Amino acid sequence: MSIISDVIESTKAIIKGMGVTFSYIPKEKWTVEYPDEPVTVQPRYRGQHLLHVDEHGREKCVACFLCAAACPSDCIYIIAADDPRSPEERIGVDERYAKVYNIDYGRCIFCGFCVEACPKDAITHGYNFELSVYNRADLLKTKDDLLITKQKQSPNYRVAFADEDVDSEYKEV
Amino acid sequence: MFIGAIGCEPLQLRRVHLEHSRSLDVYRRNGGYEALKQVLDGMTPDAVINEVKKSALRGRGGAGFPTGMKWSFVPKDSPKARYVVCNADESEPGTFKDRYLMERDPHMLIEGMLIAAYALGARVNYIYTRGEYRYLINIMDEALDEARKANLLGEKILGTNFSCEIYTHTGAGAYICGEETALLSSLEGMRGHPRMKPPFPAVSGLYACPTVVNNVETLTAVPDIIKMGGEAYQKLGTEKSGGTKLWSVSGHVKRPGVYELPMGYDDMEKFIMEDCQGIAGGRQLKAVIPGGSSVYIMPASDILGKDVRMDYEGLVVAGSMVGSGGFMVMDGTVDVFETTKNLTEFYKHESCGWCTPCREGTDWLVKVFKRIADGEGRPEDAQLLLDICDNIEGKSFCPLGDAASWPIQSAIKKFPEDFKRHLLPLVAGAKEDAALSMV
Amino acid sequence: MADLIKVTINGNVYETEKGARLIDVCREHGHAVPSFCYYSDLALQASCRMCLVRIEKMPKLQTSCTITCTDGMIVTTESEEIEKAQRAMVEFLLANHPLDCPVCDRGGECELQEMVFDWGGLEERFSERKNYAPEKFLSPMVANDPQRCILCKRCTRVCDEWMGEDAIEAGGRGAHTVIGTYDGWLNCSECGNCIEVCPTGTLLDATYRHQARPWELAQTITTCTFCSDGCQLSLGARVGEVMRAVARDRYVDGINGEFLCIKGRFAHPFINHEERIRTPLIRYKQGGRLVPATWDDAIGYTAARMRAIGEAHGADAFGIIGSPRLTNEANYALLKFAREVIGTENFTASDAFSLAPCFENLSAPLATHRDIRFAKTIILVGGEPEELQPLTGKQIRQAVRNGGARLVIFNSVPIRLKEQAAQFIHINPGTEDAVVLALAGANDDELAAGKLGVEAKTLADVRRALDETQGDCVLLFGSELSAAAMATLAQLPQLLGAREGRRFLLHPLPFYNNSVGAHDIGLMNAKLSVAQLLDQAGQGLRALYIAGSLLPEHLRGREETLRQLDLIVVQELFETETTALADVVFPAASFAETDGTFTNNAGQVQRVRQSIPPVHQARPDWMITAALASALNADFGFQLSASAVFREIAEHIAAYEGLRYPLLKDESRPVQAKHALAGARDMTGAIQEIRARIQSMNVTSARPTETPKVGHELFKPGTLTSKTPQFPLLYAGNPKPPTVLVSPLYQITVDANLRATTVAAGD
Repeated sequence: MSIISDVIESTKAIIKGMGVTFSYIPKEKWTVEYPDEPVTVQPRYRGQHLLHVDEHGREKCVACFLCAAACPSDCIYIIAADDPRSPEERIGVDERYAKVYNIDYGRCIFCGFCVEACPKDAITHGYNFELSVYNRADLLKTKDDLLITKQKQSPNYRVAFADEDVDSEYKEV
Repeated sequence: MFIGAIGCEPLQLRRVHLEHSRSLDVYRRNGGYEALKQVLDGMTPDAVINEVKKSALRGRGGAGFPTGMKWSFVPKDSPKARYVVCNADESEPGTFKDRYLMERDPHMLIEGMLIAAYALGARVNYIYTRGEYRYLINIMDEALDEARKANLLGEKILGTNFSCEIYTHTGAGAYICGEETALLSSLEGMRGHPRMKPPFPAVSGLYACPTVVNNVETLTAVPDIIKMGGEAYQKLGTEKSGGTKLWSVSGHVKRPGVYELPMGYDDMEKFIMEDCQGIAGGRQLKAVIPGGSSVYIMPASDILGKDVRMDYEGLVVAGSMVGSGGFMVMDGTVDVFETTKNLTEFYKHESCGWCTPCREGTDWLVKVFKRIADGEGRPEDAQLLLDICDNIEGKSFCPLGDAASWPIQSAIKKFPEDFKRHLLPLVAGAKEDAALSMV
Repeated sequence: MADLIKVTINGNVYETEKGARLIDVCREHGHAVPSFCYYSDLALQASCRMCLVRIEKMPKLQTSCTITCTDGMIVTTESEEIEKAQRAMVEFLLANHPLDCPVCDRGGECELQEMVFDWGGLEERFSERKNYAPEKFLSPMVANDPQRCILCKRCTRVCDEWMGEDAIEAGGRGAHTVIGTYDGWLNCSECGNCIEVCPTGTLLDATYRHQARPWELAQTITTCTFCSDGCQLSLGARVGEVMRAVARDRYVDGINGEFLCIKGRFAHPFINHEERIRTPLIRYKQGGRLVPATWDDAIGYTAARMRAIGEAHGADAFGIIGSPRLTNEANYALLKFAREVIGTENFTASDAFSLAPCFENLSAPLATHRDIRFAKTIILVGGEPEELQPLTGKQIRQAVRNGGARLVIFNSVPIRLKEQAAQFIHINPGTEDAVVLALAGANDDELAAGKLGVEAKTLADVRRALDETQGDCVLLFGSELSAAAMATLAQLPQLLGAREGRRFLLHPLPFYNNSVGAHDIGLMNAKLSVAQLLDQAGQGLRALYIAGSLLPEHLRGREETLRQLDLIVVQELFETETTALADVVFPAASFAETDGTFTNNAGQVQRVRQSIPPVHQARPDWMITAALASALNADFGFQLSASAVFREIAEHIAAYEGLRYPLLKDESRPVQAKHALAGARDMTGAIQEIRARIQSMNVTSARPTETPKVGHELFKPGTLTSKTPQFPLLYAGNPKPPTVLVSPLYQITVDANLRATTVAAGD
């Protein structure tokens, strides 16, 4: 092998490589400019949990512990309590409600079993995904963080429409 | 309204037309208390039971159990007290014969009970009447007082060593208390719930003592059996069921009433068309419930020209039962669906709540019937009704469950048209054969 | 052994005892027969219709719970027909049953739920509207959701047959039948057994309502800490908090079956109560305040003071008082502390009365509760078991009602059990000793009858009943007997002589969970009684070391003399009248936080197990004693292991010889301590003493004629029971609140005085 053939081979390889690079320059780009632009998440995306309320603003959760029982990483902690007031004044839809409802996001694996288990459709996955914190203790989210009426929604995402083709976009890769 | 005998000499209804028929005087002048005298004059208790056995008298309350045999089940050597209880809780829909017997001839019942008490060695006896028959209690109490004054009741009756007392008691208006064990519970002052059998009341009944529970009509037949002899009484009827039977005829006949017929009366068509003077308004016969609400309903096609013999065996052959003899005749204007719904509501209301199938089953049946009546019927409802009935039948604690399911089962089978009418037109696109394929 | 008969079940031939119940035989041999209403040892019901089987030669399907096996019976328990029927029954039961399992406290341990998993249909055909009835409260203890009821009536039968109260019954009829009370509010002993036996969520524990779910609870089998019956229960704890106590047979199978009384079931909230003493407390100067301290400080301080007193006044300046409420281990540690560390015999236990005369003269074995259930004759002298020893009371009642036993009661008060008694002999108050005299022989009938206020013939009748007994004859006695009378009663089996076919059994009725244990350990046959020991205060006695609290009858009136002591050390759960006098208070662990053993009134040694770690800084009593000993340079050698303490007990106490924790593991087979039987003793002296005592007795014939109110002892708010908020309500007469839809706790405020008063320090 002479040094000349080495040079020719290398140059060919560089041109081939740069050819790929340059061929993408005119194509459409789909890199997400997060956080300057919102991320598109699919409707089925499993983000931070939401605790729902009914049309009168009463919590749907009846503290049945089924989510905690279904949870494989044991990250849900509930304290149930009695609310003897009249149905209009109650915190929850039922006499029984969750006085404490904590999810430890240090342990949650976002499997969605809790949502499957819920008999009252009280818990679902929301779309919030910005869960990083500086302090590990802050990963423990309480009812104040989880209730749909209280959870702060990040401006950094948008949910895809049901008929929007988000999947195939990624398949191209 | 007709009260009388057809095809035989009146036995039970012999005195009901007489003036002051309920007084002791009239009763005695017409052969009353002769049987009692005869019994006390020298018949042994065993001889009385034997006569009743020979008479082939069967219980008139509904089940048709041979009375003599029932009496002979009472243990002879038991040290406990024995009781004779008269079941006057006549609450089977369509039945009203006992009422006439007690209202117009109370002494016949007293005499029958005294003879039964003598045969069984009972000292204290009860007449249990349904709550709604309160006025009958007054009549019975008056008659009992009269009898007591005439030394026909109480200590040393008619100068013999036989002492016996009869008390009356009213229920609080529960159908289930017509079931003998529930009646005994109610009589003891407890909730009118049926009890477990065995032990049968003949062994352990009222206050856990041997007890015989007999219908009014059964007990009123006893004096005649003694007077005419068991065999003669049996010859009035058939070999297996002797004597005469009262039928409470109601519904769309020209002449409803209480009819006394010999057992084995031939035939039902003649009875309806001639004796009851046919269907009112000249309409067509549609159906007959021959033995109170708790038996299978019979369509006209099973009666007309079929020569149905009116006794226990004959009606079973014809696909129904004698029951309590509550003979309900229905003409073509009747919607059997509505009839069945009505009956089911009755059973739901009267279910005592003891056992699961009857309590929940009747409640469910009524809800389905109501839904169908409200126009929410579904093609599969007929099948659902039959299946619920099937799940109740034979699984309930007492026969009330069976009684509730039989009318529905037979009604759907015999009158599918009436059910189709309610189920089908409302279900768009339903296929008729799919809807009622079960029938 | 009864006759054996052959029964064929599903083609297999089994031998079984004649008269066995078919459902039991099926289950025994592994043929699963479902049922709701069948409950062994209760009257038959046959209403759920789940246990249907096919028996050859019988029409229709039969309920196996009502069938008694006969020879040659051929039974099928599994077939298409049977399965259809059983599935239909579940479908019927679910028809009007609400689908509110998520909020139902029984969810997860509900028999209906389990049955639906096994027998339920896949589709629900019932599409109609369900019958509705609102959820409500029957009493402060019992919550009720009538919709969930499947009307198995276990509750009504238990209420009637076990408790003899008949407080709940079915009302209405048909599908609208509901379990209810007679006047809309449950005024009973609030035992809660109806809750326990309920297979669904119809009757619920109102104190645990909506608190947790069963699968979240760690269940620990332990022994009840209230009366001397020693019921086995299961504490359900979650993250260091005891949420409930149950006796459900799925968790525990003890001498009491599923029976518990109000205290056992509902009085557990004291364990995690906020008023528990959190840290050791020291009162540095007389009349000062109790100041929180660390364990090291408190132990060091106490040891220093003790050493100083010991040097100044000698070992007998110390008095050590154990408690009949503590474990055998704790009491043994105290005994060891007294003898080996201090070197004094000044020890005792704060029990109301001593059983020593009974055990010294014991001439017949102690009756277990099972023995009482199957006894033929039961003699009850004094006492009130239905209030003070509820399990014994229930066993007596069942022996009479379900077993046909003959019950004879001697009592000056017409107690509730007299309903069951064949003979209730109403005696003059305070004359219980005369009963023993009369039972011992006919010589003193006239004297006894005269003082008792009964006819001599009555006493002769009782003696004849004893004579004629075939089977077991149980003698129960309460606290009223004098020492001589107790000794004579314990010798009665010897005095009456042995006979074929008759067995005498004794059953004392002490008040506290470990009264018998405290005696066994040796605290109760010390040379001084509690009263005598306390009376020495200020004379020879300079320091007291008390575990638990003193009883009011011992404490009241002695406060001033006790204040003269140099040092009082108390181990307690709560601040009491005794801790008010203390110089040092150690926070002790309750029965739920410690391992150990209790010995019940049948002599059965039963395990106490740790359910939760000690709350706050509490420590088990024996550990505190050991720590104190170690600070005084004596090594007890059993640090941190209750089983080591018990092993030492077993080596030193004859009645416990050979016992070890592993042997006590199975609560369904309790081990009875081997109390030595004394042979025939000459009792003339004792009888003479009783006679003299009776003769000199001034009796009044003013006997209470009214049956004491239900719960007059059970509801008394004591140190422990008053911590359950419902107890003051009950003690205040259990008033019916304005609405039954909400817990009375939210509606009625009990008078603050009543809440504050603790009637008895020891419950």
